Amino acid sequence: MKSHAALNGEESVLFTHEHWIKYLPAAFLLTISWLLYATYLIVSFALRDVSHTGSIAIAVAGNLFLLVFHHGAFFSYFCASSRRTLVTNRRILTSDQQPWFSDDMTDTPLWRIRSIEVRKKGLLQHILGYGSLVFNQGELQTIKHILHPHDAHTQIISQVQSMQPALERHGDVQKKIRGPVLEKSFPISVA
Amino acid sequence: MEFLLSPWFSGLSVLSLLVMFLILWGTSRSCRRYSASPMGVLGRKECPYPCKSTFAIALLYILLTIAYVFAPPLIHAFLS
Repeated sequence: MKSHAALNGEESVLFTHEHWIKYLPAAFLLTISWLLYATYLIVSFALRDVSHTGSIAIAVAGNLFLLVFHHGAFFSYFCASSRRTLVTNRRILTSDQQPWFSDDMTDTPLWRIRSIEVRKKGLLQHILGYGSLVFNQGELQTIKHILHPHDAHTQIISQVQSMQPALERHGDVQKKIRGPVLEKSFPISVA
Repeated sequence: MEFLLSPWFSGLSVLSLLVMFLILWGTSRSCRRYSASPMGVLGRKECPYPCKSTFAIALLYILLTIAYVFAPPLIHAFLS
């Protein structure tokens, strides 16, 4: 695979950095785990003199919630950190993996791109400077949480445009091959 | 000590360590798949995975999980 990629002259052009906002759910879960545990601990100690069994049960429940949210937070972090996008001079590669649940890798050739939209919605996206890149009006994989999407858009567009001469040459060759056949098969008559 | 040895608590601790092991194992498998993919080969310098921050967070995860095994009984003993 390595030699194949190197021999073809494919080079990485842009690694799109995702905004740290993608780690917000993980941070939120971690904070919630501590808050819940503290709450359960306080309730457990308040009930200590009333019911010993109840106090222990609440302490164990607090510990259970702490662990569930703790593991959820780190799982969410590892999932978010595996979401990556790399633009090469020929294609856009994206990776999105969730350990033991899903493993998605997308490979989009640049020649398939007809349009790129930069989407920045809401106050948060404007203040923090991140957004999404939508390809072919959502037909292809959308890149989300991208930092400085306008810069990334410029770089991707320049790569797509640099492919245009080669595509046009390819199109001309195809026309030369198919042209006469099409004319024979479907003669256009002007009334 | 009573709290530490209770079946509920020891069961939770063992389960927690097991879940941590599974998540880290799954993540290391993801890293290997990523490194073997064209994206990993082409972006070896720009976007390696796992990167330094992933290692740091994994270490934090291990330390916190171990701390959570011992912290509740210690807090319980300290406050009672």
